[in-house]
Amino acid sequence: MTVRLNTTINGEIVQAEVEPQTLLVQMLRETLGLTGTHVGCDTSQCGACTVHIDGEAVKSCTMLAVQAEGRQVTTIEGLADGDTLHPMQRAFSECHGLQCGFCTPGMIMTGVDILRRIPDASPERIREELEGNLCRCTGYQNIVRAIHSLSTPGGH
Amino acid sequence: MKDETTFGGRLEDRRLVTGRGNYLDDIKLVGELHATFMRSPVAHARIIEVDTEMARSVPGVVAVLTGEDIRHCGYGTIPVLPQENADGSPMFVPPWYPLAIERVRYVGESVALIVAETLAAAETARDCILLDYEDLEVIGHASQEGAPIWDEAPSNQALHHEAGDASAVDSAIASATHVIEVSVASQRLAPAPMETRAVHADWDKKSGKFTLTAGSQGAAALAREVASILGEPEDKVRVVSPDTGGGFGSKTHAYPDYAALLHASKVVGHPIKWTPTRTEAFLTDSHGRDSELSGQLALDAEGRFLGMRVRSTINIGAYHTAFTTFTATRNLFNSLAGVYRFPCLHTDIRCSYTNTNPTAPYRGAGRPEANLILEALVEKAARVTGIDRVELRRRNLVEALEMPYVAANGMTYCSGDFPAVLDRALELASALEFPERRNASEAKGRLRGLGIACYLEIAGVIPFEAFRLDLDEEGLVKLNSGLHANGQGHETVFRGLVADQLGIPIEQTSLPESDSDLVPDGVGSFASRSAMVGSAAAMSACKALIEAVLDRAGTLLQAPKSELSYADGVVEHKGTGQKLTLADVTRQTGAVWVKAHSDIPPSFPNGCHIAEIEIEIETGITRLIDFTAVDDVGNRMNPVLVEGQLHGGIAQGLGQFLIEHVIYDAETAQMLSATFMDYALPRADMLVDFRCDHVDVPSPNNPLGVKGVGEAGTSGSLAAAYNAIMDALSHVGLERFDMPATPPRVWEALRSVGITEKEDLK
Repeated sequence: MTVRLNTTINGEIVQAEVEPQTLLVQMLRETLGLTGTHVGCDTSQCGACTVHIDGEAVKSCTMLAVQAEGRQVTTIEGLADGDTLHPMQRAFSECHGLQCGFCTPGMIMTGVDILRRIPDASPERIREELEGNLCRCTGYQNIVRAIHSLSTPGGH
Repeated sequence: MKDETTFGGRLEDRRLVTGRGNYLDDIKLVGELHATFMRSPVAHARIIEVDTEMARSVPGVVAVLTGEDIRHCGYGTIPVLPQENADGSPMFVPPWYPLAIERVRYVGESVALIVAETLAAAETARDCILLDYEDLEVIGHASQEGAPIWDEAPSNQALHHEAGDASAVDSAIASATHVIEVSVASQRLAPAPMETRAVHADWDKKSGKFTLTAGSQGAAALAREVASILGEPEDKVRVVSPDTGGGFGSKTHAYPDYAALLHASKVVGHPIKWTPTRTEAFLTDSHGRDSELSGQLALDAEGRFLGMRVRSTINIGAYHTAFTTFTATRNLFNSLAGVYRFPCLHTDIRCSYTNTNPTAPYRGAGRPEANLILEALVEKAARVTGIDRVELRRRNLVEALEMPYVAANGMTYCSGDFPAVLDRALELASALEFPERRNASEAKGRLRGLGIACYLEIAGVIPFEAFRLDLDEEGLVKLNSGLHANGQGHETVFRGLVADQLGIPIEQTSLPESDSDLVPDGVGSFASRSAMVGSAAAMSACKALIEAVLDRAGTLLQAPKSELSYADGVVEHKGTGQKLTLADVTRQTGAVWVKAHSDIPPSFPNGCHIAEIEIEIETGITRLIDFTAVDDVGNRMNPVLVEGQLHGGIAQGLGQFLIEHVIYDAETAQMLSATFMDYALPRADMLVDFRCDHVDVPSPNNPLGVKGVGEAGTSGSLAAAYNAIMDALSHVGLERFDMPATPPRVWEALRSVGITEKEDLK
């Protein structure tokens, strides 16, 4: 049995046939070929699969694809404006906030969400807010620096 | 050498920040089938029967293979670097087959491989396999006595290795004023790269060639190991490595799984994809560390080091990987003298088999252990002798004027200014003012510790690396080597180097996926060697390419080579002024490729790291408060990337200190830490901003004067953090503490010396 699903992904209306148990991340990667969203664990710990649902960061391994019915999904592929990188993508690169790059899509999506909620987040606050995302390469220092470089001054 | 102020990101970043990386699970091959393994649910058992009948009948299943299906294929085992026991006998190397035959020896060992049209079908079939087995006695840790796991190793000893001068150390201890003793465990860790080791296995009927697309730390080395397992000539196995999401040692060597998948591809006539789950990765990706270290340091009345002995017992698991025992024994010995003058050293190391997943080199690979026991001894010596810990170090440091210095372990230190490194670290960490900070913490009822650790390590190790350059008919230069990046930024560094050497724009270069067919004799990215050994090979390849271009230009211009010059991608005839670009040459004469290799001796990165921690008495919560790292990694090819490597290395050392621990049940050897919910990686809020600086002294041993930086951070940070907690705990009378410094362990340690509340500090 499959379910017919209407959703908006990276600004485009998508109609898909998925099995009801399909996770959102599976649909993104396998059905739609959006492989920028990664899977790094089986227990919703690593955050590599983080996407935005109606503008909020969500781990796409914790959601069924059918729950995206009628909602706006943004993945890492949809963050840039054409050839112009999103400021968070540019900040990660310029602050050397990525090494192997596997956690990076999730980190960037989370970083955008942190500053959406807390525009003036301090480095300490950013460290706390990153608790749902694991990185094994960078020691987080340059990830925090990248996100903080876009935070408005005077943070808490 | 790049300036950090002009860093504008790496060449690889654009695709990685836009989701256009090409990792293993992102790839789909035409006609691809899916695979999963049925893995041993028990740690030690004799296999009676693997009943696959029901599994074969699951719709969509194409093949179910067990050890019985491969036992007559003539497959071999993982190639292991040979070593000798202390008594001169050769090290026994047990066979490790693609699928278990007759016996399973650890939880997670591959019992059967299921290939199906969909992953769901493969997983369903896996759960339909009936495994009948007879339990055997389980050996869960290295000091446990019991029945042999391998008949050829009756006491479960894999290797007894000694190095150094035992009698000289005996004499030093006999004549010493002080003999300091320390015991500490370096617990088992999971490398846990964020991308698990997914692969695609593909056998080509026409050529009879096996292709493995896999994350790796060097495609050629992996191809050679896989060929050895399959018993195939090396040119019949190709490894291609696209983007690799971290490795840290665990993706250097071959796993028997890979051979099973390639065999299956041959059987079913289709390419096969396998993506392990995270739990599968915890069970079967090689682990790191797992040693019990005890050391003796002999000092005279003035605190001069007279000699040192380290004994270690290492749990290597049920099988060997290529370098398991070599790095555990030799890297430890080769780094053991650290930055100090020692007349003599001796190591006595026993590697043991247990019913656990095999260990292998993990970031540092013996070097962090060497620095841990050395610096723990030095710190304790200061406490026992009453000599200030900085002064004690200064009295024993090798001076800059003594370079090149031949250490007691035979290593020739190429360069370094150890006293300057120590001074800079103390200054940057405001170490002199530490007593005030300690008083302030204790006034709040918290213990505070400052840990100093100088470190030195051997980097490079294998002098050889191969680099190939392909110049095509458009004048574009493609780079390939035995190296492979797992986050180090090789595209940026090596494309930059080659563009600079050839005098062409960086856009005229590319570094595609690694391909063992192009550089079959390559070695790989481990032991902090890529920048040092790889750069030398790349520079030789650039010279060879220029010579090849000049040869061809000479033919085209009908001029002897001596009348031609090369600069900035252009050949010029000195007499006529005629000019040919690289593309002019290859368009007329065809594409050209060259290959060159390096022969670069090791270098010795060193530094001084200082950690400060605070312990909450009531809860045992131990917080990292401050971290300073002053390193000498020689010349820095790209300072920003060097800093990134240091940050990551420091974090992995601190992860071992704070929270990481692979735990097996003591009786059943079932793994209790097989998810990220049970095996904790350090998170952003557990760490601080590391304060980093350099006292870099170029290495004279390689053309760029670099020293290697991949493992430096881990080697320094582990010992610094350990010394910090011992500084705090010895303050209340505790003599031994084993990591990780999780709240329950610290809480118990405090209570063992009667500290239960804030008031006990007064």
